[in-house]
Amino acid sequence: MLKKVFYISLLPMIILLTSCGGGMIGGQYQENLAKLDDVYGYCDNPQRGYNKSSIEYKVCKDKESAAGADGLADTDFRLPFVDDLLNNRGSRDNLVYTSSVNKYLWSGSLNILSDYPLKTADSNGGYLETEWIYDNQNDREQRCIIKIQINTIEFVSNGVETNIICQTKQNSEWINSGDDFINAEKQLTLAILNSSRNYYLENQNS
Amino acid sequence: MKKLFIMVSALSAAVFSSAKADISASGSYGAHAISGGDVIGGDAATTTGTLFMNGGGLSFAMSTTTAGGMTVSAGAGVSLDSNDSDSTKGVTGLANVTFAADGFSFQVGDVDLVGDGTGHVGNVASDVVDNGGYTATGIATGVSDTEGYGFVASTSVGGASVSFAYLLDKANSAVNNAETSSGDYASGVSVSMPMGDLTVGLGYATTTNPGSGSANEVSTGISVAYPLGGTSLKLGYESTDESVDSTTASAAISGSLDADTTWAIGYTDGEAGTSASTRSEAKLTRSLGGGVSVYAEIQNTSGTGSSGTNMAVGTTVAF
Repeated sequence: MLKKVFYISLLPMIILLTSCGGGMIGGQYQENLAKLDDVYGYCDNPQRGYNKSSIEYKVCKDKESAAGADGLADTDFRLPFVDDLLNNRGSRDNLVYTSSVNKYLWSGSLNILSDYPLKTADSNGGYLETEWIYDNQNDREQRCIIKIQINTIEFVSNGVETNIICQTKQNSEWINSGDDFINAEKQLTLAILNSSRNYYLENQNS
Repeated sequence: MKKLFIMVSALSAAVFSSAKADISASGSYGAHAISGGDVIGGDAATTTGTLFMNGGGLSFAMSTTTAGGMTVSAGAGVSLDSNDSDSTKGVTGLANVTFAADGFSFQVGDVDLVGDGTGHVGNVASDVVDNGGYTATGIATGVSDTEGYGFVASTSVGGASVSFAYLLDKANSAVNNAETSSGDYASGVSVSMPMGDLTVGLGYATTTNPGSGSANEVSTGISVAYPLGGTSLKLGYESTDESVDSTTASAAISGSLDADTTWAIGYTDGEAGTSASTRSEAKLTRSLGGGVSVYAEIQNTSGTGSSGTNMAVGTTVAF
C-alpha cells in the first residue's frame, strides 16, 4: 500500500519540483536531451523513450538515415556518382567539388550585399563579410560591417546568420559602438531569405 | 547603411513563415532483400533462398500547448511492417498521452518500461537482417515484459537526465486500462549523465511474475559512450536475474565517410545459463536526398543457436 502511495504521489512531487524552473531538478532537461541526441541519435536517445517496435521509431530511423551524417535531408534526390558520370564523363578536368553551402542562400546573400564592397567571400565556408560601410550623413560619423554565415546545405530559414558590427568616430578614433542591431539583423536575414526564395523559384521554373 | 536598413525593413516578414500544426503526419517505406540461412519468410516452408520484403508505416502526431507552456501530445500509426515478415497490417497508438514542459515529461497510458536494455549497445543493424535466419540464442538479457499500462516520468537532475517508469500491468500491452491490483507490476529507472567526455547510462528494471510462479526478474545495465577521433565508441554491459540468468557485454563504433554516408560496427557477447553466443554486425547507410537512403547490413552469429552470416540490402524512404 505504501508503495502505491509513493508512486501515485510522484507526479505532484515532480510537478512541484520542476515548477520552480531553472533549478537542480528539471532546469537543464531540454539541454540534456539535446546533448544525448548528439551522443545516441535522436531516435535512440534512451531518455526520449521510443518504443523500438513502434511505427514512430521506424519512421524516425528512416528519417535519420535519409538525413545522413550531417543530419540534413537534401531536398533533391540524386544517385551517387551517376550525376557526376553523366555530366563529366569521368574526366578529371571536370571534377565536381561538393559544398556544404546552400546555393540559393549563397546567391541571395550576394544579391543583398551587391551594393557594397566585399572583403571576404568564401563560397566553400559560406562566409561573407563586407568592407567598412561608412555613413557620414548623420551628425556622428559611423561605419559598419556586415557578416553573413550560411551554415547549411539545406534551403531552410534558419540557415543564415547575420551579424552587424558598427563603430563611431570619437576624437579621430574608431570606437566600437556597443549597440546591438537585432532588428536590423533580423530584417537583413529576411531580405536574404526573400532573395534566396526568388532564386529558388526561378530555378524551379526554368 | 541606412539605405540597406530601409530596404530590408520594407520586406515582408512572412517570407519563410511556417505554420505550427496541431496534427502532423509522417511516414516511411522500406524495400529489402535478405539472405542468410533458412530465411524467415511468411511462407511456412523452410528455404535458403533470398527473401524480398517491403512495407511501410504512417505515423500521426497530435499536440497542443497550454497558455502556460505545457505541451500535451499523443500519437497513432498504421503500418505494414517492413522489418519482419509479418504481413499483418497494424494499427497502433492512442494508448498513451504525454504532458511535457521545459523541465519534465510525464507519459501515462500504455508505455515502455525504461531501464531495460541500457547495456545493449552492439545492435547497430536494423531488425531486417534478423530475417536471414541465423540466430544467437545465447544473447538474452532483459526482462521479459517491457510494455504495459503505467506511466513514465522524465526530468533532469543537474546535468543528468532521469526517467522513471511504473507499470500497473505489464502482462497486457497496447491496452488503455489497468487495475491497481493486477499484481503484474514493473518498474524501471534510466539515468544518462555526462562525465567529462564520457556519457554514462545506467539502467535498472524489475518485474513481478505472480501468475507464472517463476521468480521476479531484475535487469541492470550500464553503457558508456565516448567520442574517439571523429567516431563514437560505445561500451555496454547488462545482467539479468530471472529463471535463467544471463549477461551480455557489447561494443559499438560508428562514424561517417562524408556528409551523406554513415557506418557502424557492433559486437555482442552473451551468456544465458549454459548457452553462449556472439553476434557481430556492420551497417553502411547512404543518403540520396529527397528522403531516400540505401543501406547494406551484415550480421554474423556464432555459438549457441545457428551460426552463420545474414545479409540485407535495401532502401528506405522517409516522407
